[in-house]
Amino acid sequence: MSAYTRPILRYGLIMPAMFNCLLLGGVVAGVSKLSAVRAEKAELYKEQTQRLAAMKKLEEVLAPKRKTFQDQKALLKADPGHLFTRILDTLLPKYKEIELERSGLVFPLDRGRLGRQVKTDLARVKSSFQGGLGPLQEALLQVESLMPQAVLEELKITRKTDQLLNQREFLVMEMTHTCWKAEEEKK
Amino acid sequence: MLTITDPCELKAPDIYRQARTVASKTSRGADSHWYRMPEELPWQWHLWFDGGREVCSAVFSKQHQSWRPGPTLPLANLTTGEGVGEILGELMSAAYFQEKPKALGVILHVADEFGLAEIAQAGEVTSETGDDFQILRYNLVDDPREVLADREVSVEANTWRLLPFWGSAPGQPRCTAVSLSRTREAFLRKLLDCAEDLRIPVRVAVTCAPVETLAALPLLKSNLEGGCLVAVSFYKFTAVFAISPQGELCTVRSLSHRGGSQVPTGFGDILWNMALGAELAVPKVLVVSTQARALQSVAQELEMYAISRQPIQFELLNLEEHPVLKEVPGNRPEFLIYDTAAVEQVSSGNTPLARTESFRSLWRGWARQSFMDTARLDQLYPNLRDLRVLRFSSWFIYLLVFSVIGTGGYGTWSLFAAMNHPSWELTPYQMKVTQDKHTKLLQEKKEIDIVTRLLQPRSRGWVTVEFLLQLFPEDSGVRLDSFVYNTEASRAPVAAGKGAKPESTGMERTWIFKGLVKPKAMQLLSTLNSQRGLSAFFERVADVTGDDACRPGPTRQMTIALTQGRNTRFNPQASAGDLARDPSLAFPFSFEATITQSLTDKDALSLPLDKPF
Repeated sequence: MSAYTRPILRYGLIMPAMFNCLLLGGVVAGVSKLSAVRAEKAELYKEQTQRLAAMKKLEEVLAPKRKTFQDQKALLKADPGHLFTRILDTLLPKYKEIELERSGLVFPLDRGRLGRQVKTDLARVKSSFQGGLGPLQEALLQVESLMPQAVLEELKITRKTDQLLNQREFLVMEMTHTCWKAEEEKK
Repeated sequence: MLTITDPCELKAPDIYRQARTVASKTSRGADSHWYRMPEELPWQWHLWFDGGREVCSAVFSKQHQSWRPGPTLPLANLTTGEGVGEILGELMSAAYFQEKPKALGVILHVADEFGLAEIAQAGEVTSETGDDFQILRYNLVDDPREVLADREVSVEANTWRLLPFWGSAPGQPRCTAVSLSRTREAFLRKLLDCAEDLRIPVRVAVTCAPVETLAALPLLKSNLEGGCLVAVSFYKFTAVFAISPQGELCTVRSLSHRGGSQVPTGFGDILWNMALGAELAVPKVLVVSTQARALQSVAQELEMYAISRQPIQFELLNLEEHPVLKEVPGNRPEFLIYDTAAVEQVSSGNTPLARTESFRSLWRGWARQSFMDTARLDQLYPNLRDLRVLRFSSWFIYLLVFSVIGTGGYGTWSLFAAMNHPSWELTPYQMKVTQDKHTKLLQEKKEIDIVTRLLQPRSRGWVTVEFLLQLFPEDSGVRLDSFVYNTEASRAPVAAGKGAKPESTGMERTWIFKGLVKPKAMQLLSTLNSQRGLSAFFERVADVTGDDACRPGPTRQMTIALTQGRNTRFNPQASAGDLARDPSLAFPFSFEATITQSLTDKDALSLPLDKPF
């Protein structure tokens, strides 16, 4: 080993190696950090892109339905009992008593057998009529066309006759409608 | 010009800096010729001088084993070192060698002095192997004062090398020190400096011509046997070597020429005494010289001595006429031992002296010992291994720097690429806004889905009336007493797994009919009282009303329970008046039918459980 060997090893190999390793370590750490940030951002960007694509598709699906939905929403927000009554009031005068006559209209407060499982708010309308099936069907068609939220829960038709009044047989029709409605806004 | 400082006087960083300077400004790192002995180099320049007017100059191409006269070097220049650069330039051209030399070994054969000095420990050397000689040899180079008997010598003015006597008699000195003055080192140093500047590897040596002549003796006189004295006559002195009968070197003497004589004073007596000391029965002397006049003078002297004093046999060897030296410039026998092929040829032959330890050792290196301590000069420079490590370190550093730059470049490119990617501009706020919009859209979709499903026509009153009319049309022979229709939500399904909430529930619809029937309508009820008949009926109602709730499907199950009986009030003899009062008298049978339709929670018309808003 000459007088040069140790200084060459020290200043030519060990110190540059240490310095470069430190530098390299720093650069590698920086690059790793940058890669991690980049990967994270790329992941978020991918998520964002996918979300935007999904939103676009969703928008394409929802856009044509939106107008109808607004109408449906407005319909559900209306008071079904009031609406039901108003339609009947408009409708029934067209019929003679013998054809169709409303004999009762009540609004039960319980949820009934149809609405007990669902969480949607509802209102029930129990109506009673006397008359024939034809006028009843016509009246129901009109009511249910104007009130798609109304679902027939129960219909009872019985044949009646009043011997004392010497009346002919007539039909007594009792029906209960469950009407879906939007939740009332809390004041 | 490269200035080299002894590394022992420098601090570590300066040593490293100096090593880098040597590596960059010289060819030492790339050319291994810098680290070889001059006699090992393929191109050699031999200088011989004996203190006369001329310097013998010869070049030797080891590869071609050819000797040629070298450039003329005036004696004055050998002392002053003038014109060294020009001579070196001349030598390094193709003028003296067949090809342009890449390095040069310069050997200065000193024949103008031959001093001998006593070794203090000479008597202690008893080893037969020669290891002690090697130790002594190195000690003599390192610290001559410790080895020499005379401790007052000047190491600045002289230099010593060991000459062992392999055939010395017991009690006689086993070795001696040959001394030369260092006056010619200046020329060689100038030559080295000049070569350093020209980046040409030049290696130098100063050798003792008498010892080299002794080593060349078997090449000159192959039949020479031991038991003789060899007197080599030079211009200023005569060197006498005593060879034992076994052919080994016993002793040596240097005899100065005085008063312009070419024969030492009392030469015969000296030779007689030396022969006695070497235990030679009859003194036989071989006188060697290149000058016929000198040989003649010696012959006269010895003849006179033999007549007047003691019998003495002598033989003259005139080198000028020797065929072996014909090709050698100046007929110098000293040059012969540098022709390794010639030496190999003699050493492998049957020459009597070639088998002796003395001559084998002389050929191995003892005769070519350099009196100039070039090892000390070499220590000023980094050795080849150091320079290789330095070169490796340079590559290593380049590699590391490249890796750092590469990684840094990759990092910069990554940063640049990342910054130019839209993802870099994406902020958490933007993400949140998009996420909120998406959530709103999903919520809206959910609301629309639930509302759409909720408002589907799953149980309509007018369809139920139509169902009744389709089942029992007018004049069908059925008198219906009562009809009950119910719609009921099924029990909500159990969640399939953790977190999986049921979204909808099934539904059950029931139609209950009670009434009387004539025989002609019995067929109608019978047709209905089967799965096929029931499905066909429901299909028909769906077609007529357009209500999908009545359409049979895989998620819908329909059943019917029909009971029939006799009408107790039936009177086949009832008059028209009776029938007008009580129409039931005309119906012989009574019936009760219950039709059930179950829709599962998978059905399109199943009830959504959640609220829409």
